[in-house]
Amino acid sequence: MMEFLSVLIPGLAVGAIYGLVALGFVLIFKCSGVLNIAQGQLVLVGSFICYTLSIQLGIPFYLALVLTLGMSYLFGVLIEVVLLRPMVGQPVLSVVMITIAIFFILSSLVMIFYGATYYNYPTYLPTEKVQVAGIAIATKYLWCFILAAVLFVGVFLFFRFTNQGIAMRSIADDEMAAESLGVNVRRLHGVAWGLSFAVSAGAGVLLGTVMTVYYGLGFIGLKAIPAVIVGGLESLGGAMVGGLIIGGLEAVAGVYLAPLSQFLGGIKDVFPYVILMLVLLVKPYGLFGERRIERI
Amino acid sequence: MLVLNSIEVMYGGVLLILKGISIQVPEGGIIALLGSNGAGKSTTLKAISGLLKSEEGAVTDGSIIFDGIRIDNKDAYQIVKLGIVQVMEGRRIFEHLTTEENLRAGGQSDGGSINRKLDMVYSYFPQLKKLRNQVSGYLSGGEQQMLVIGRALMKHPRLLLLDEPSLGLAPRLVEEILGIVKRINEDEKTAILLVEQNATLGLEASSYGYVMENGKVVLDGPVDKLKANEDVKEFYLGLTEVGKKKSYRDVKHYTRRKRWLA
Ligand SMILES: Nc1ncnc2c1ncn2[C@@H]1O[C@H](COP(=O)(O)OP(=O)(O)OP(=O)(O)O)[C@@H](O)[C@H]1O
Ligand SMILES: [Mg+2]
Repeated sequence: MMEFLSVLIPGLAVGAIYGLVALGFVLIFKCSGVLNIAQGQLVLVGSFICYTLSIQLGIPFYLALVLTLGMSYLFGVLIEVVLLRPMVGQPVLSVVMITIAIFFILSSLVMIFYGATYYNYPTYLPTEKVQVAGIAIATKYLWCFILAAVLFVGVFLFFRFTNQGIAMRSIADDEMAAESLGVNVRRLHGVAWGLSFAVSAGAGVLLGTVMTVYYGLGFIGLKAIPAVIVGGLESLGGAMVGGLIIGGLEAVAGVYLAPLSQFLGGIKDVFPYVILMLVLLVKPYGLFGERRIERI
Repeated sequence: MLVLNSIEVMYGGVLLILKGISIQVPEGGIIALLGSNGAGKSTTLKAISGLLKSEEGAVTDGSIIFDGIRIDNKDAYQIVKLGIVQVMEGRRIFEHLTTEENLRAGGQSDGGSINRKLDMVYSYFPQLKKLRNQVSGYLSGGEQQMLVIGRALMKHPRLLLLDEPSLGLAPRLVEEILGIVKRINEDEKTAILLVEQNATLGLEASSYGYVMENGKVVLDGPVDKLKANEDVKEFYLGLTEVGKKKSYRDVKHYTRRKRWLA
């Protein structure tokens, strides 16, 4: 049991980060109906922006983190305005192709400037271990879990209670009706992209903290896709739950299914997709997906 | 207040739907816009509110003037800011949002207190207050119609464009809703352009009416005059001279219609 918890808790911390990436994915899908393939790359870019600011430019870490979020927000708005806005009304496939292009461009840029080397942030979190239910857990996992939760709750409250958040949810339901009430739909699409980029960059910094800052983070960001689909494509809360499920199960599978990996190599990495398929078999809309409301 | 000067509207750059419509709405008036399916009533409203643009439609000729400002080239959100709000046909609520979230979704363009506006809407539609925390997708049809009108009121419009508010509702409810619309017109001094297929209702509520066919205005005048008009009686009020229900199979229907279009 002890051993199980010591595996599960770090898994959940990483899962919360997957949840953030999934949240970024859902934000864009919900507000503008675009499946953003490049989401994982935003994680990667975010982790490197923060690395550049804090190590290369020597900016204090927490300030660098805030700057990273802000810059990513602006970057998201820019991408939406320059690349996506002209595509309104074009076939979904063409729009997805654009996000695939963004995926490759961002990957290459990181590769060109930073190569495949591993980097580390300055230690900004306490390093000692804490006792949770009798087991020692590295505090960075707990802190990352908390920071992920703070970001998530922030976004959640924004959507629940602010006028702008409510307007963005109204766009998800009926864009033209929102327009008829004077909602500036184009501007809010930009805001959705900006928020999504910021949240993903935040996830990137946290991933860089629990692992290291390296090229592969973009692909780890892809784990968010099973998290999104398990949670349901339109549900903010579902994204987080999906992330926790995938992160937790993956960690547990990595340890307890390890004996199998002599026949089935890399079972840890495949496991989330197995879960994904099982959930889709039972609940085609994901655990918290929205259906059209049909009154009886 | 609002003037449409022989506007033409095209969808997708090829389909000419409105072929020179001229309509006027005076300050604080209630104007009815009548016509059968596909006549172009909704298209006319969307041309005014700017929503046409999100359906690939455009005003290709003529002009729309509101308070001396030309608005046919403006975006929908700018037109709302000027004080025109359209309630689209078909009760387009935000189904996953609660009643109150629906009311708040338009946000604030004029900086007024949102609570005061909510109270104003709830005073016209007390039922909505009881349902404020319900998910609106589960409201009844009548409640949803009240919600979309209330939602538009949150913007304090000077001109409200109402597209078939009676569609699919029981007669008693229609009476109630139109009664409230009239009160809004009197109390808030909101001018109303009311689209109705049900001419009896449309003419009852308003002071002046336009009849559309096939993208043109074929008839207009004060309500009393329209009510007395033989053609209106026959096709829209469903009455013949003797006052009996008229069968749609009647061949005259077609020839009369022809006469208007000539
Ligand atoms: N987005 C669109 N693209 C192309 N054609 C359209 C579009 N919207 C409407 N039309 C066409 O324009 C014509 C007028 O439509 P409109 O919706 O204005 O009629 P209406 O008078 O409101 O009818 P109803 O009473 O049935 O609502 C119809 O022939 C319709 O097919
Ligand atoms: Mg219509």
